[in-house]
Amino acid sequence: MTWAGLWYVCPKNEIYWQQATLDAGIGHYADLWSPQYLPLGGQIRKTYHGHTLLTVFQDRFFSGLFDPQAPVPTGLLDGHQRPAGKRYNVYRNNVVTSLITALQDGFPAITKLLGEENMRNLAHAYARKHVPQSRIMMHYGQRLPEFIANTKQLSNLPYLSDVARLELELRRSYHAADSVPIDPGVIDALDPTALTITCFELAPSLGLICSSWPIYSIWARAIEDADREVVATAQDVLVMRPNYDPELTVLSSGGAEFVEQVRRGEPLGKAFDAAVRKCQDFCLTLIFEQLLKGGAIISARKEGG
Amino acid sequence: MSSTIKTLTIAGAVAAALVSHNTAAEAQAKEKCFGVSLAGKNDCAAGPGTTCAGSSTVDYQGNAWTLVEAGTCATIELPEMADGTPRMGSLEALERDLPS
Repeated sequence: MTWAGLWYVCPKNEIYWQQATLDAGIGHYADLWSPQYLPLGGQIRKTYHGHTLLTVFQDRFFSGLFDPQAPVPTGLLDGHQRPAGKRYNVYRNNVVTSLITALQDGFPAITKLLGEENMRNLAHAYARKHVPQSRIMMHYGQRLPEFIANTKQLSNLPYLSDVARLELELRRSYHAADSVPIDPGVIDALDPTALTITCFELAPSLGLICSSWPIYSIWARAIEDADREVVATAQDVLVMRPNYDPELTVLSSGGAEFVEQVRRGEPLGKAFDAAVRKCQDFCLTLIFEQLLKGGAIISARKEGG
Repeated sequence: MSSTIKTLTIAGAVAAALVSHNTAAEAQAKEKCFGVSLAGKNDCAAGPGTTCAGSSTVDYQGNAWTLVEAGTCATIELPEMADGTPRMGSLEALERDLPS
C-alpha cells in the first residue's frame, strides 16, 4: 500500500488528514471526520514520509461526493502527484455505499418492510440530502422518519415513518447512559399521602413512541415473527432497557400520558389525574408494573424536594 | 373522585404493582450465556458502525453470548462437538468454537 494521504480544508478552516484512503481505494465515510486535524486556514501543501500530501479545499472535495456526474475537484492529486480522477470516483462511491449500508443496518425493520432494493433507493436519496452531522455513525439517520413522511412514493405506507421513529428510539435507548433501578422497598415504605406527591425519575434509556398505527405489531412482524397477525389499532410503545438490550412494551390506554407526565417531573397524583382524564380505563397498576419490570424507575423524591 | 379515595386508589394500585413485580422479578431474571448462539444470532442492537449484533460467525461460538433465563445457561442442550466432546453453555466466555 502506498503510504500517502490527503490534506483538505473544511469550511471551518480545519484540515483533516485522510490517511491513505484514496491510494488504497477503501475509504470510509466516517474517516472524513477523523479526529486528527489541525486548525488552519487556506490551501496548503505538506509532505509526510517523503510524499507530498495533497491539498484541496474540503468544500470542493465534498461538493462532488454525492453527485457521481460532478467533476473531480481540480487540484486533487494522488500520492504520485497525478490527478486523482479514478480514486476520487472510488472514494465517492464508497461514501454513498457506506451510508446506504449504515441506514440498512440502523433500520432493519424498515429495510424488511420495504425490501432491500427499495430501501437502497430510499437510503441513497436520504444520504444525498442529509449527510451525517456527526462522525458517530451509529446515530446516523435521525431525520429518516420525516424524510419518509415527505416521500410521496411511500404515502401508501403511512405507518412507515412511525416505525422508523421506533427504530431510532431503540438505538438511542441502547446507547443511553446506564442507570440503577430503584429499590422497590423505597416505594413500598411511602405512606399513601406521600405517594401522591412523589416524583419519580425515569431511566435515560426510557423512550416513548406514540402512534396511530400498530407500530409494535408491524415492527415485531418485520423483525421477529413473519406470521404475526397485525390488528389495525393505535399503539403507544415504551422502550426500556432492563438488561443489556432495549425491549419494547405496548402501553394500554392512558399509559403514554402517564409516562409523559412522570417524565416531565409531575408527582404521581397529578400524573394519575392526567392519565384518567385522557382515558377513563387507565390502569395505574399495569403501567407501574411495566415501568418496574423495565428497570425504568430509578429514584423518587417528594414534590418540590 | 374525592382526594381520599384517589389517594387510596393510587396507593392500592402501586402496592399491587410492587407485589406483582417482586413475584415476576424472581421468575424473569436473565443471564449472559456464552457458547450457545447460532452464527449471526447473538444479541445486541448497537446500530451501524458498531461490531456487535449478529457478529458471531460460527454456530455456538464460545465468546459470543445471548441472554437466557437465569439458571438455565449451563443446562442448555447443544449438539456435541465433532470429536464427541459434549458442548455446554457457560456463564463465562469459552475457548471452543472460535472462528478460525
